[in-house]
Amino acid sequence: MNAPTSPLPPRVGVGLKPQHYVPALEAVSASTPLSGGCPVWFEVHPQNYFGAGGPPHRWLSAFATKVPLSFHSVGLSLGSADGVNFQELEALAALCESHAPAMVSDHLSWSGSGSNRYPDLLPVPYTREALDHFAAQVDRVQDRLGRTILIENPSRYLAFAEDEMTEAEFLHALCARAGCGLLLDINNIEVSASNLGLDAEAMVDAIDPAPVGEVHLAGHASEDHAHGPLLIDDHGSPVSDATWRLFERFVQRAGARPTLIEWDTDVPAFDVLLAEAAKADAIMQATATVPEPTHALA
Amino acid sequence: MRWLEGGQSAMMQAIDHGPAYLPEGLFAGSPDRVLAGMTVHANTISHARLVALEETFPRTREHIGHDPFNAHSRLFIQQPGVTAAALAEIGGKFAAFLLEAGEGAGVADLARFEWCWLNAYHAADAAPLSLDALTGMAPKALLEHTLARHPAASAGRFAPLVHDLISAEVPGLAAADAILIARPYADVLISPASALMAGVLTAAENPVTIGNLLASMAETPADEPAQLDAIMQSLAALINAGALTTA
Repeated sequence: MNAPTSPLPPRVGVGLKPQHYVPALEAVSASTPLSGGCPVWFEVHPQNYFGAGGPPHRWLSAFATKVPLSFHSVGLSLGSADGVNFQELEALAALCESHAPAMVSDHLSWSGSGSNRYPDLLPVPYTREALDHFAAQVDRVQDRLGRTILIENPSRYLAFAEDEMTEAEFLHALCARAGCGLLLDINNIEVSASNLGLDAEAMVDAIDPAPVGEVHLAGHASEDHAHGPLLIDDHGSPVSDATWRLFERFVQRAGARPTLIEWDTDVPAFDVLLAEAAKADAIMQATATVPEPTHALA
Repeated sequence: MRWLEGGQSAMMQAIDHGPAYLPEGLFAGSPDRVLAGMTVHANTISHARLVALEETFPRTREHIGHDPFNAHSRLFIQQPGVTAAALAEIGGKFAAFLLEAGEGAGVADLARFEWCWLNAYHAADAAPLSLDALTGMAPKALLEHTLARHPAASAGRFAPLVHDLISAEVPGLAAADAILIARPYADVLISPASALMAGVLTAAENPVTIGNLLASMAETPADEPAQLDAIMQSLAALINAGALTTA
């Protein structure tokens, strides 16, 4: 298994949204950095910066001079039977070249084919066939980018009948095969566990902390159905109590890790994000008993 | 069913055409639960496409109303080829679709204006040509100076509806021949333009010396031959608007 792969600081970051550009830049530019939950790094979806130029690039450049950036891609479609989307990969490579992010990640998912693109993170079966294919695509991406990437565990609403291994087994095998790291989304674990009738604590405990280079925390929605609640990973609300508990459980075992507060829909005021970030930071400061890992890869 | 050979395409069929296309046994769990899970994915995909159109065409949506806009959008994303595009590009053919759908030239042109605005916003950055840079040049050097359309600039004629709607924010637009869209620096700027300005900008689509630009415009057939002074005034207006760059 790989050593921890994150060159991001083991502190709290937040997802950067256009409506927060001004207060966020003010916060990280302050001569006296804010205490508590002031984010020390930011994450963006690189697809929002694939235009040739314009204000988005100006803002991104401004932040890149102040804090480390993490590029969290949602478009490589690594699990597609057609293979990775090369148009997206080339655009991502160009953006990495111009903005030098500290970290790059995408998802254990697929998003359609060359002729029909689905703006969603669709599930991949946990089979040896899918593992072989996915690992080969991660190789192609890492070769093109010239760097290690992280792969995020998905929110699952469906389990495949032909699954041959658990999610943790699949992810660990992927990291070993492809040499990639793991982006552990703890909200996704709560969502998947609830929807598929699994034990969320056992899922967290099954994760080897060694390749975890980043952690995500977010909120989710819940729909009532006759067969029970269906949790939906919409990133549109505060982190749930259950996810906070799972995060604390993971940090107790793994130590502090770069941890992101994600909030992508119904985006609140920046202060609300800061409060969530402060909570995550406090948990890491109070809970982490394991020495911070040495970062092996950049 | 092996996933890469058939399972994935079966799932795509079900997303596109409904649960009747979902092969039995692909997913574990009760049929109700599987249907609920598939519905989450189908709704996420549809919602993202519809929101992308709403965010690309806010004025068009406001003008025709949410429900008609949504109805058009739902039909549009079912058109061949539309969903092959990334979300950022999904609206490229929406204006033409609105025209075919019977909305009329005004509404279609409003959508075309919004698409031009978005292209200007995301266009490559380039330093705009300034009149100061040309001031003091010897006449020969001035005529040999090569310029080109700024990557973010475009000018065109739009339906009167577009001029009327935008004129609330940009004085002088209602009576203008054309609309100039430019982004010399951070902000997209809208300004009235003459037909001659639009013609000069088109002539500068590829790098051209000022001398050749003036010569080509003077040769352009028109109801009245363009006079050199008028061409120079148009060129100066385009430079003042940040619509040209040094090539």
